[in-house]
Amino acid sequence: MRGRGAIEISEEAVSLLRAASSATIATYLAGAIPLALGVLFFWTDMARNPFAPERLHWNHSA
Amino acid sequence: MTGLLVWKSVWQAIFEARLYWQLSLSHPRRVNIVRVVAMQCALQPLSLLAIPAALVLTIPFAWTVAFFRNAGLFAALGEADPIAAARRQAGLWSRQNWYLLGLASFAALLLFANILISIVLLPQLGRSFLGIEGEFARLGFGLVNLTTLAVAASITWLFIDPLLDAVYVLRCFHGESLATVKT
Repeated sequence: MRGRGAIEISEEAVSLLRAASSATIATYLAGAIPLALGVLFFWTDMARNPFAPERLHWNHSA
Repeated sequence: MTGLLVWKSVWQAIFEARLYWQLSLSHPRRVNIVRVVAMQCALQPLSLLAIPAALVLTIPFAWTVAFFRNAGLFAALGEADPIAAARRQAGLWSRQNWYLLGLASFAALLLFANILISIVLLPQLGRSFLGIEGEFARLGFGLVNLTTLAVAASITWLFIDPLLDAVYVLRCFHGESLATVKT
């Protein structure tokens, strides 16, 4: 059996997300937002803090 | 960071399961959290290595992406052997999978450009129309640095990732329906 087209299944996915309850969306955001903020914090910390490399595990143990 | 990754993977699996139940018009069941946590702890760190490696090898990339997303879903659904189910579903409709990833990448690129332009232009618009003279407005195009790019990439990911989740839930739903019809 052939699968549906990519555009068709993408449209279905958008409809599925639009029909999802706010609790379902909140379930996703509860996981994704802390990770996004954590990655951004780590990124800026490593990029701008001159002492940041000292806190890295491999530098610490060396 | 590891804790955050596991946290996100567990919630993502529950989110996928809720979408699946919504699609199959069944009531949400109780998710075995311990099982999902164990499954995601065991699998998702591997995805950090396997997905870039598959991208370099190119051919198994679409299958690998589908497999790791499906595994979380089947673990949350309480499937007896989530790895086998994820592998079975990931192998279905390869061409569709590739087109979907291409489409998602293209959408992500456009969204990223839009978000970046909004981040850069909003302070200028605020200054022009409302007279808000802030740090961001004074920076002008100096606002485009690695941190801003990372913020734009994160916001893009927050929009595209749930869409990909929904896409793979739909693929699994259609794949499971196919298996039910055959038996």
